[in-house]
Amino acid sequence: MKRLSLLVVAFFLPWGAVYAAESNTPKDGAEELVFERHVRPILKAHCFHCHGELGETQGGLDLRLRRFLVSGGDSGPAIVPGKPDESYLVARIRSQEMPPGEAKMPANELAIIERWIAAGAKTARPEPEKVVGPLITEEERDFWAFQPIKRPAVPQVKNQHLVANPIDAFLLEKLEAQGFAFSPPAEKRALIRRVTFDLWGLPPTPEEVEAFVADNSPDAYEKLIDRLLASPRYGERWGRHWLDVAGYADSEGYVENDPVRKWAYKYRDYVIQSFNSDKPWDEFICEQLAGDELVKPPYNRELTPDEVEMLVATGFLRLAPDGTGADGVNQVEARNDVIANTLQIVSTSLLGMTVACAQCHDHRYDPIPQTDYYHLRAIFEPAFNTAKWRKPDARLILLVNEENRRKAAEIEAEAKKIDEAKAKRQEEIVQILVERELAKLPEEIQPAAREAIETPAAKRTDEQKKLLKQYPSLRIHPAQISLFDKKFAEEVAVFSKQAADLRATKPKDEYVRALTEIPGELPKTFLHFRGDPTQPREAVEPADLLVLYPNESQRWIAPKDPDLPTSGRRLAYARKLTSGAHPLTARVLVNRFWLHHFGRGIVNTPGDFGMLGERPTHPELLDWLASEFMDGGWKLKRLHKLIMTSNAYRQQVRLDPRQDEVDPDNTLYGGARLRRLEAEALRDAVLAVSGKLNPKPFGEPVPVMADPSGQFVVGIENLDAGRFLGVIPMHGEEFRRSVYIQARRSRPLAVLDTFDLPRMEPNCEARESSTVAPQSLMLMNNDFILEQAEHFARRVHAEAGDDAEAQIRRAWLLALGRAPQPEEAREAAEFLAQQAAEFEANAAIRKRNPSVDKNVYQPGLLEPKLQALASLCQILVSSNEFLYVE
Amino acid sequence: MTRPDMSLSQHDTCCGRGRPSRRHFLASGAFGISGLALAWLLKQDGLLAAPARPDVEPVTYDAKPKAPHHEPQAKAMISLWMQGGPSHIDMFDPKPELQKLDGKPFPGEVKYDNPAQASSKVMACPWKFHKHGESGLELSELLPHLGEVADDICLIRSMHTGVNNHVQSIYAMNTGRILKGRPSLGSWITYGLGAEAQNLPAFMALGDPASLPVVGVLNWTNGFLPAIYQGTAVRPREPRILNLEPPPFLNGKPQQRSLELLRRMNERHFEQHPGYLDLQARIASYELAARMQLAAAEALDLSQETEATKKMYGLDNPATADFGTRCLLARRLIERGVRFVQVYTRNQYWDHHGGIVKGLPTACRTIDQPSAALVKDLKQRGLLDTTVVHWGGEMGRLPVIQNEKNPGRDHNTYGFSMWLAGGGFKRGVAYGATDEFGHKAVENVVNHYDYHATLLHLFGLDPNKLVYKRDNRELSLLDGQPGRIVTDILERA
Repeated sequence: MKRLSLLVVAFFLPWGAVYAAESNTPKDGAEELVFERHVRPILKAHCFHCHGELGETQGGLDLRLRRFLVSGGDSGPAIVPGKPDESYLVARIRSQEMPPGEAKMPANELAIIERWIAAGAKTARPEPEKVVGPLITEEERDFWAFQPIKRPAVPQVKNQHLVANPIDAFLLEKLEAQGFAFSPPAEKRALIRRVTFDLWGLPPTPEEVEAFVADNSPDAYEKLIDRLLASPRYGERWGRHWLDVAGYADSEGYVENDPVRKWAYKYRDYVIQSFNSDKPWDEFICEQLAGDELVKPPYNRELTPDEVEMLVATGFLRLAPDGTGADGVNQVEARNDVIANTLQIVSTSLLGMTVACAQCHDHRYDPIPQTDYYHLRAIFEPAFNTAKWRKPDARLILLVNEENRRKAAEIEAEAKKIDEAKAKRQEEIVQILVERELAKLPEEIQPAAREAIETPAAKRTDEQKKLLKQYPSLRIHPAQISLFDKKFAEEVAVFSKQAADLRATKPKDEYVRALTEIPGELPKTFLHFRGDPTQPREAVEPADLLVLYPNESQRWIAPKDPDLPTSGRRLAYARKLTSGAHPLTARVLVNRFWLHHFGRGIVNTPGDFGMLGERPTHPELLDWLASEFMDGGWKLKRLHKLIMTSNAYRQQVRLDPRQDEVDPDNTLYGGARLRRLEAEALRDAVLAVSGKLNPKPFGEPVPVMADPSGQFVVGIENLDAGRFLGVIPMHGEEFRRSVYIQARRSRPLAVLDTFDLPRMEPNCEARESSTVAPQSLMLMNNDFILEQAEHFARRVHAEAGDDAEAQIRRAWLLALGRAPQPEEAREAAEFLAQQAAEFEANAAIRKRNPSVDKNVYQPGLLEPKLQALASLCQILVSSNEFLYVE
Repeated sequence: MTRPDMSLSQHDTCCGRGRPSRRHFLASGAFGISGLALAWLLKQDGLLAAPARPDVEPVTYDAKPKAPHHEPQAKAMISLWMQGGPSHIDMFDPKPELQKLDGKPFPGEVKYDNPAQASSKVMACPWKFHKHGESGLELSELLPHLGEVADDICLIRSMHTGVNNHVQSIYAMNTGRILKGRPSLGSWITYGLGAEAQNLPAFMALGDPASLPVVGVLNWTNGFLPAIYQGTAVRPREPRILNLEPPPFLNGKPQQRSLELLRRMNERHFEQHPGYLDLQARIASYELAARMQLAAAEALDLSQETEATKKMYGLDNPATADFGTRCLLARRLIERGVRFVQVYTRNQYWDHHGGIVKGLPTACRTIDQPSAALVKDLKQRGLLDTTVVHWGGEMGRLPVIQNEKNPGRDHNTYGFSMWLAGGGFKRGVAYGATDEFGHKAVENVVNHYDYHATLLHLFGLDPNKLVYKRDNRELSLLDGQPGRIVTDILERA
């Protein structure tokens, strides 16, 4: 059973670490201990579960307010202010009776409670008279992430000459405080490689490198960025980042056979196009959360392209694994899981909060009561509607296109004509064949046999039936023509092919994978007792997280607008998130953008801005960026340019041992960091260098299949009852960018999987980057790499000719964007000579293996010198200089 | 097949370093306890370096054997990771009180994880317990094969992590703390000791074909330790490791020449980027990969095993074949000098919130015979003395019914069981106890950090000295938790 609960007893938590930034621990008694700041977080973690949360007050004791502690429960007052030794609460904790279980309260926390009581058990302010619903303290509200975003003043720094824009000032301020400054700027070759990988996920071509190096105009770098941002390659790279957070997959998951989501790709294309067109993010978010509410139902009419786009955008809310279409699943659980996973995707991607922890109980660390989880759920409930659930197929919307329908009908009519002609000709052929067969019979039987065949089956006499049984070859079905006469069969086949070819030209029906509401249906949302969907409790209304709204009335989603056919909840919520006043959305977004540019987030837990997440290393910078982003119309390309034209971004890689020691994680940004290419960038870069990259954008995903060794490769599955029928040529589709390769949950493409392709369960907040021997084995022996190395070699040969020196130089420029050092060139030349001699000598091995399918590329068949060059090319794409970008 | 590195003879694949030296010669014989003692003696001679500790100067990290802090008893470890929470009271920890109170209200206080489906009704263990071996260790009838090796195992009945959820308790047991992001046990041990084998990864993870356990790849993460100490996942199906074989035209000399040029390029690149340990780890991973081409195929080739051995692990039975195969692979890896192998059951395999009466026997059937076979097999090969076998998960289960319609039991991290065998653990003992209902550990409680301290001790490592310095802090597996070495369960203190 899957459990999202985070029932953590806080025994082992380093409270210092959790609360240090909020100065929970008073220093040297200088600070007065108050309930809200010092005591309540301890009680919340250890005690609220039984004493205060969700109306649970065991022993009549509620510990959520100081006055409740004084008034106490069934056993009398819990504390006596000024007298810790007479306080029952302290006695129970000291005796380790409370909290129950083995997880005891750490001594330092008990000491804080004791000192607080001894000092008179103060509160920071008068406590609320009435407690209605969950309690959130001012201290909790004061947490950095919940504060409104304000544009901070840009600091003055010593090294003003290093400030290209305010980003530099914010970073330098902290560097200078440690006695550091920026590293020198990266040299131009390194810089163009960095920005091209950053914005395209591809290496620059040698010509692009040389042009940039040669361009001495002051705006050369800006022009470079503009050029990269204007290319469709940009959306393919940055769209992929968003697809990670959104949890994009081309399959439903949940069950073992992992059904394919045929139409999911339209959402992928929508994302890529949105990045390329620089769609403002407020719109981008509104469309993804509520695109359907921007289109007037019904949707089974002919829609405009814009309307289609709005519906496609809601595919965002259809990305979570969905097992409800499979047989044998528990529907209650499976439906609930779809909604829970969708909420997890929404909350980690847009709120940066672990809201999912509040599915079963109040969040243990963040001020997110369990009710908040269901308030959020209520926003999405009308579209999901567990009572009137629609399985994945039932949610597909057919794109009605009258023009296409008409065309299809015309084509069908034409095809029918061919069918008829075929039937007619078949009949004639059958007649001829019957005559032939009759002729083979003994002459005396022929008349009777002819009569028997010509008599309709129902009217045949027993004798006739017997006769036909005796000579079965007389009864010829049109489909059996090929058994009697090859030539006739071919004649018929021409008709069939004509009809099939014609039908293939019919415009195909297209569908959209969307989330929609059924007008008029407005299901209630109930809090699930302890997260159990079979135990609904009180109904809750749609609202945003309580802690974000000092004025509680503003959290609610307005009641249904009677003019809107749908509930309007998601649309209203999307507008709340993008109003500019929401404290989380813009921060969470710009933090991710920053993460992808720098390899580290300002908040380095991009999906958790809460207590257990990391604190921002540069909170002012984060807010400045968020303000700048929103003030600039939520446009990402503008922000890219801002970030990339900072001096901070343009530094060379950090090589300062003093900084390594003081700041091992490079949180001060005193230099660029070396980053390994992500899985997709690596595969795409190899294809780019080999010259094989197929830039075709969009459309149905390139399929993935298991090869005979069980490894997942690009290919069309061609199995008959598990038997391998041969390889179907892919005509260059196999060389398309990785973002267009089918992302089936159960079939991760081996080349990508080995390099840490994330699993979408349900989404990926930040990628891991591993370094293990199977990656090396892949680069050494994998067919994809071996094949691409040979294409790379052919390309080098075509571009540089037969001269080894020129080849080496060209290969270096293509793979690494620089010419080889003399020593490298010498080593490479020596290598080529030796390797070629070796291949010359072992020519016997390098022959086509007859047992390999003819459509499979077999490496190792080049002439020796070219084969040696392929070895060199393989080394280049396997080298650390290729795998890591400065 | 041409060998890429002719200097590797069959003999020294166990330690696999190219140039023989005195150190090499001594270390290569290090299969028995004598070899371990030798390594320790060598340290006394100052021949082996102390465990690597980063300093201001760039430091090299590798998986070569390192000297322990004191004479070790254990050399390698196989952890059979039972994710989900095997029900200790139905398998390892008989409680007559439960039988008496079956269906009646639970007399004490229960810490529920999911009160939604909770009842306070006691659920007796539906299975009988029997005494086994000379030790008379009591085990449930669900574990008949384990009964056969009862005299070889050390059963701990008082495990405790105190954090009642899978994710956090897995982190506690496998990485030392309940929070995400720390290195796993296998990473710490390989960081401290390196590995005997230089032709196989020092730390290998063998997952179930059906799914990864909860927290997935983080079960074998290196956390903040250098990437070279990361566990290497072995595929759950054949081919266990992809791309192991070079194509014929590259096999041998041509590939060797390529790798040599690649190494030179990578080293030059690393010189220009000192301090980027990932670059170094990748250089090492190419060297390891080259050696693995020979060694891994051989190590993972079960055709070399006798029919009797295969049968012992249950490879002839569909129910046990997969887990048995992985247990047998684990033995072969350890035998070849891998330091730490973890074998995983599938996602939430033991999480019997419901349907326990059918589900638990099924689960036991798949693992019982192979687990016991592993102990027997290591013993008969003389490897058990220096190899720790661990069997256990992140939690046990509650004595009361969850989900009355289809009874099961909820999480219990306040008291649960696991067993260890070999590597210096006492044999045929049960240690610690839970209360009369099996809910909470009450006698000789073993917390996850006590378990870790004890393990490190057996490996010759001082839990307080095995540190990784970073950011001016000394980080350790115990991370300041008061881990005690549980000497009561050790053959030698």
